Amino acid sequence: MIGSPEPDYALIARVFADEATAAEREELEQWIRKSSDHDILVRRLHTVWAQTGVVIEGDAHHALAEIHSRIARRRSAPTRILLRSPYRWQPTAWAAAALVTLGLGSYTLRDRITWQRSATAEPLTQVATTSGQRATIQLSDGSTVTLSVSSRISYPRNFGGREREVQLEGEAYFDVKHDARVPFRVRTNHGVTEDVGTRFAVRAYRGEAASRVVVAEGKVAIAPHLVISAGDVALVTGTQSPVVEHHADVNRLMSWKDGTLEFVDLPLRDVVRDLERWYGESVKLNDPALGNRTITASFNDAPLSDVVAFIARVVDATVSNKAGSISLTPRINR
Amino acid sequence: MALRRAPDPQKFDALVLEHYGRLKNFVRRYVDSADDADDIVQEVFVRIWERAHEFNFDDPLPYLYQATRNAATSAARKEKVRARWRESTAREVPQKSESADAHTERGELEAAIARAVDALPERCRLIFTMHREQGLSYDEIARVLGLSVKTVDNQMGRALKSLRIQLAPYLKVILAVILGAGKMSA
Repeated sequence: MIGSPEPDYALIARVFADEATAAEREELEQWIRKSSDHDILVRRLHTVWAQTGVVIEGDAHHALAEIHSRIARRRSAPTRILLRSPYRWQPTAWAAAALVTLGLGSYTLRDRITWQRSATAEPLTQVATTSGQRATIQLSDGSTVTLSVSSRISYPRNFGGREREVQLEGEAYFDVKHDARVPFRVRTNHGVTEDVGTRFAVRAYRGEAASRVVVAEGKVAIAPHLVISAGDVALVTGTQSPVVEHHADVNRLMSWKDGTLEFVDLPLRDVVRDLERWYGESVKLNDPALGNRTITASFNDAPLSDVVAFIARVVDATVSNKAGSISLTPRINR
Repeated sequence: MALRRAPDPQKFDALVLEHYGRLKNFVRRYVDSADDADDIVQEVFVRIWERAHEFNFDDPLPYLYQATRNAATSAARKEKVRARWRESTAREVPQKSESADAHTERGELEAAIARAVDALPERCRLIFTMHREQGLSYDEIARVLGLSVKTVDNQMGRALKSLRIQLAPYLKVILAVILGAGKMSA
């Protein structure tokens, strides 16, 4: 190639890519004819080019059928969302951990026995939602559960007659068919909530310090001797005694089940975590101090961009959305 | 919830059939597993169905690529461990360039070319693979990425030049392969 001018790679690529005009093709032909080096170079490049082409894979017709079945599943029968194969709990470890945190020494033995029994008698069904999804589940006793975003619940397909117990990670609203002989229990990583016939919601996301129990109707036992009732909100941690607030705005705390994203005096760092669960996209705070600002707002079916824009106005920050990653930066001049 | 119209099923199906394979190839640049790639692309289309009222069926590529890219990068983040492993193995493959000789297997050449493509500057690689691996025209690439066709053209030229430089030691072998296969007509 000594003495040759630099090859016009864009032209060569254009010809290979079938993007060239007839005149451009002719131009390349002439350049090739000038020297055998040119000829060899173009041949070599074409070999490389041919190797970079990946055959478009994937059976699109099969995929189309899959997509339609996903759509149908999601529309008609929310209980079938992401239904995974039945799986069993590690009963003893779980029961022990939950009971130690609640300090229910005398319950230990009984609970272990019931756990083992239910684990062997009936495999558990698990329903999980991802960000942005909610699911309504009808349990075998006629109770219904509304599962919030990024949550997971496990329950036996049939409760049998002696006890009703579900395992929750995340947030769910329960409308329980009352049966005094068969208590309904919700287990989370912070403890056990036992219903006395009622409507209530439990929130216990992994990574949150406390789980929250909100009662809309009836009574709920959050510990053996601590029963809370309609209008009460309890925060339950594994280590300290529960904190109960009376006359709370329970409807607001449960508005998620109707598709409303509601924040009441919530620090922004918790807000962005909720947004991630709700929309499946992360929102970053470029200044940790922003995380301390509190937000009170409610959004109904709003796109994430609107929600973020609103929050940015409240905390006086700018929004950047680069390459699909959203972040908030405080304005320098307050 | 607002009442939403379902999309025209024929339009929707045509959209899937036309773009499914290319989007899957696109995702495969981010995730290893073909099953994960299927999952990601199918979810993108399910979302389009659910939000059909917001979707522009007349100019679908920009949204398709943006949504697929978001989903693929977030899936890739979750698979960081695997990605790290992939990177380290890519680095460990010896750069045999100097010793490449005539009986170099074609498989090795393919691997060298794949590495050379991976080593392209990010934007250059994106454009090059959108053409070569996803079958988009220059014009379509330009619209998806919000660039001029001229920029796409330049980047394609840059890619080719860079491949030539990186693969220089192998190019000798390529010639041998060509000669061995019989002289091509001029």
